[in-house]
Amino acid sequence: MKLSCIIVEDLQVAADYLKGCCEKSGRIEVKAHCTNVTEAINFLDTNTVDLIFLDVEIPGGQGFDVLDKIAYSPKVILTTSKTEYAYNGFEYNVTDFLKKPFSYQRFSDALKKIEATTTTSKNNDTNNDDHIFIKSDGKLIRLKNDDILYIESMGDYVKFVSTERKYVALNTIKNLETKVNTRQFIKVHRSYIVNISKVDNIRENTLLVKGAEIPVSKASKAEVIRRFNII
Amino acid sequence: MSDRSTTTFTFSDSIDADYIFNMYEDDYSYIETMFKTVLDHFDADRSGILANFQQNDLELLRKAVHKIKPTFGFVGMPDVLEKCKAFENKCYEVQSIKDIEVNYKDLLNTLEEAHQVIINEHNKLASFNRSAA
Repeated sequence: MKLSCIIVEDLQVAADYLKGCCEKSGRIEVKAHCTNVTEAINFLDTNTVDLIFLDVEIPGGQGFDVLDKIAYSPKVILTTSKTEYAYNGFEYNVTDFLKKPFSYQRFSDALKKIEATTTTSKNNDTNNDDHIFIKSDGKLIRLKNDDILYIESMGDYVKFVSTERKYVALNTIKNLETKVNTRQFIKVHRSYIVNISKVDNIRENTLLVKGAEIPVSKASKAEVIRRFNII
Repeated sequence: MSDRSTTTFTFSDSIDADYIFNMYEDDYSYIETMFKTVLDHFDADRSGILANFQQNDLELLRKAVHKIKPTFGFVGMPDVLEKCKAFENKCYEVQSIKDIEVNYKDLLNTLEEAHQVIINEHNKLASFNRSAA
């Protein structure tokens, strides 16, 4: 199956070249070409893709702003002519960095890394732990998955809301997304991860969890419908 | 510059043919298309540089040069790309537009010469591809 991608790039010849590389590979389908931050966020708000080819200096901000705003975590390949951005790339856990202009061979090598990490993450998608440890108030606290209702982002911190009480810990939703038991939890919004078994009610773009209203982003809606087995 | 040539098409001395073949191999039709794309957007990208210089906006001037910079890689002109990069770096070092006026004029001349080279090369490629069809 082909990987889906978008190209976020303001230089037309670079975008065309990248499209050509994707077509030539026969392994990637280009869903859209966005030339600025807003366009990219709007597209990703209503569509999900496996991969983003992301330029950094684009109109409306930086390419990294796109990653900050979207509700899920597709693979990312940075495409820029400035190697200084490689460091930021590490912080955003990007898979590779293509310095423009690049050869098809270099593109192909980056694609192999994407395919390798995709396979690895699928193989690792077996986190069946029934609990997690969080560091809160200077202590390590064991939280049973069954006791957690949802996890909410608070900037650099997250709030674990359990049936008994709330815990605040230094962490991010993006990081926790891959750490929690993915069979039991689902990220429904860039600021929320929800325990599927605790959802009482679903209304339009909102989940009700023991009285709390949790928003569902447009980008997550399809996955939420799939996971909740809505018929 | 490389003196690489093929029996079918020879790039001018201003173009690094190895650079071109590394990206497009010998797909001349594709190469022509890419040159055309560069030409279609060249004026707009250069206008961004001119406008930001006239508006005395050093950061936007740097960004405009940063944007156009890779263009020259896609048409086999790494020297021009490097010149853009040097200008971009210079923008970080200076305090105001006035401090880089000389560099700016030099860059504009380089861009103009490069533009003409790209036009000529595109015409040659178009003619070659028509005759090969």
